Amino acid sequence: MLTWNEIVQKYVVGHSDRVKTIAKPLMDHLRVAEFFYVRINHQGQLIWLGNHPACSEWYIDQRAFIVDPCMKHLSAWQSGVSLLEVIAPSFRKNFMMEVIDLFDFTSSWIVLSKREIDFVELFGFIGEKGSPIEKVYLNHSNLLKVFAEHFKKEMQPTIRQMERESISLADLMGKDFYSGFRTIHPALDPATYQAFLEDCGMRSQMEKAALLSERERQCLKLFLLGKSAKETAIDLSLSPRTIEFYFENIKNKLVCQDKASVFGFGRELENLGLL
Amino acid sequence: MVTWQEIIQCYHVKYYNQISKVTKPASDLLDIACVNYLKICNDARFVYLTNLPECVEYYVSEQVYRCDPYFKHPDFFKPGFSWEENSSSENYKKCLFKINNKFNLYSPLVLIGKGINYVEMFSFFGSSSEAIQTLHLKYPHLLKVFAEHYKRELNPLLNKMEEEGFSLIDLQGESFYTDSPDSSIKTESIYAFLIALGKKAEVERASSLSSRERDCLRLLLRGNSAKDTATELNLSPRTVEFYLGNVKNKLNCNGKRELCSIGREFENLGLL
Repeated sequence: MLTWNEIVQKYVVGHSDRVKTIAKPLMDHLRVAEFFYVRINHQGQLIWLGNHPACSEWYIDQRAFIVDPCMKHLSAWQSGVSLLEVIAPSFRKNFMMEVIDLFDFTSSWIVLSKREIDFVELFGFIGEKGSPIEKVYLNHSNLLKVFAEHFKKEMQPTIRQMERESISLADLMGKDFYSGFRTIHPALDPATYQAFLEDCGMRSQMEKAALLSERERQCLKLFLLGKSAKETAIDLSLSPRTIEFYFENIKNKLVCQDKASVFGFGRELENLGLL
Repeated sequence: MVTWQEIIQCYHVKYYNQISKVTKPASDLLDIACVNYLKICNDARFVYLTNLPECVEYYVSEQVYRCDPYFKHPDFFKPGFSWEENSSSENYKKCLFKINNKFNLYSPLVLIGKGINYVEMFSFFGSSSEAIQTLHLKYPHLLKVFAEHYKRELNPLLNKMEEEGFSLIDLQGESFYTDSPDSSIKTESIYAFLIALGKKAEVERASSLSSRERDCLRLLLRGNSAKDTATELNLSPRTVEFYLGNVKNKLNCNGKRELCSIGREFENLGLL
C-alpha cells in the first residue's frame, strides 16, 4: 500500500511536467497558477494530477486532506462550478488562508465538479495573486469546461494507467474518507423559486411549462439544441413520426403558431430553469 | 446643476413605496437587502434608483462616489457579472466595509448590461456575503429575470428620470472620464486560450462576423423573429434578414436550424 508521500511523488510530481504543458494556456491567458484534477469513485479509488508539485507536497505535509472536501466521498458533490472557500469554509480556515500567502495565490479557488453516477471529477483552478479569477468564475466558466475536456483527452493514457493501479482513499484515510463532510450547496426550496418567478410576472410561462409531459420536455430540449426530428428520434429511440406528434402537442400547449415561435418561447423557458 | 440631495429627495424618498414594492420579491425571497439600478448614457445623462435611500444618504455624506468604480463612462464596462472583491481600489473597499458595518450589506454582485449608447447596472447587496455568492452559484438567471421585471414595472419612473437629463459630470466632474482599473478578461485572451485548446476553426469563424451580424445571431438564438430583432436594434426587418443571410454564408450553414446549432456552440464557447 502506498503512502500519501509516495502517491504525490509518483503521480502528482511524476506527471507534473506533462500537466504543466497542457495547463499552459490557463497560465498564459487566464493567469491560473495552480490547476488540479481529482477523480474519486464510489469505492474511494483516487486519481490525482496537478501542475504545482510544491503546493501538493505542502498539502501532504500539512495533512490537509483531512479537511479537504476534494478528497472525500463523492456524496459531498453535485455538478457545477463553485468557489471552494464558499462551499467549504472550514477548508478555507484550516488550509487555504496559509497557502494563499505561501504561494501567492488568489483567495478565490474555482472548482468545476462533474458528478456521474459512480464517480466525481473535480477540476481546480487557483489564480496567481492579483489575477481576475473572480471574473473567470462569474463570466467565463465555459472556458474552464472546454479546458476540462481538453485535459482529459490529452491525459487519457495516464488516467487509464492510474485507474489500473488503483489507489484507494478508503485505505489511506480510513473512516475519515467517509466522515460526514458536506460541502454547502445551498438550494432555494422549489416553493421559493416558484414564488419568485411568479412575483416577477412569469406566471403564464410557469403554467405553460407545467403542461408539458416528460417526453415533450425532452423533445423540446433537443429541438432547442438544433436537432432535427430524425436526430431527436434516434436520441430518444422513438420513430420520427412520434417526435412530430409530440412536437404538435408542444406547439398547442405553448400556444405557438410555428417552429420559430416554439424556439423563442422554449429558450425563454430554458432561461427560467423551467425545462 | 443637479445635486445628490435632489436625487435622493425627488426620487429615492418620494418613490420609496413604489420602488420597495418592485424590489420585494428579491428582498423577501432571495435575501437581497438592497438593489440599486444605474443607467449611464454616453453623454453622461444618468438614471439612479435605490430601495434604500438612507444608505445613499450615507454614501453621499462619506463621499464614496469619489472612488466608486461604477459611476464612469459606458466605454469602461463590459457586459456580464462583476463583483469587486480583489480588483477595486483600497479606498473603495474601505468604504464598502463601512457600509457593511453600518447597514449589514455585503459587497454587491453587479449585473452589467450594455446598449448601443448606454450601460446599465443592477447592484445586488446581500444581507450576508454567503447569500449573494451562493445565489450566484446556482441561480444567476434569476437575477436576470428580476432585472427585466424591475425595468418593466418601473418603466415610467425610469423614463421620467431619464428625461430630466441629469448629468453625471455635475456630480463626478472630470473623473467621469477616467478609467477605473479594468479587471475583465480581454477578448484577445479568450481567443488565444481557445486557439491553444484546438478551437482555432471556431474562433476564426466567429471572429469573421461583424458586430451587427453577431447581434443579429445572438438575438436569433434568443428566439427573436427578424421583426423583434429589427425593433431592438433600430433597423428595418429587411436589413436584419440581410445580416442573417451574411451570417449563414460566413458560417456555411444551409438553414436556420443549422445556424441555431452552430450559434449555440459559439455561445457555449463564449464567442458571441
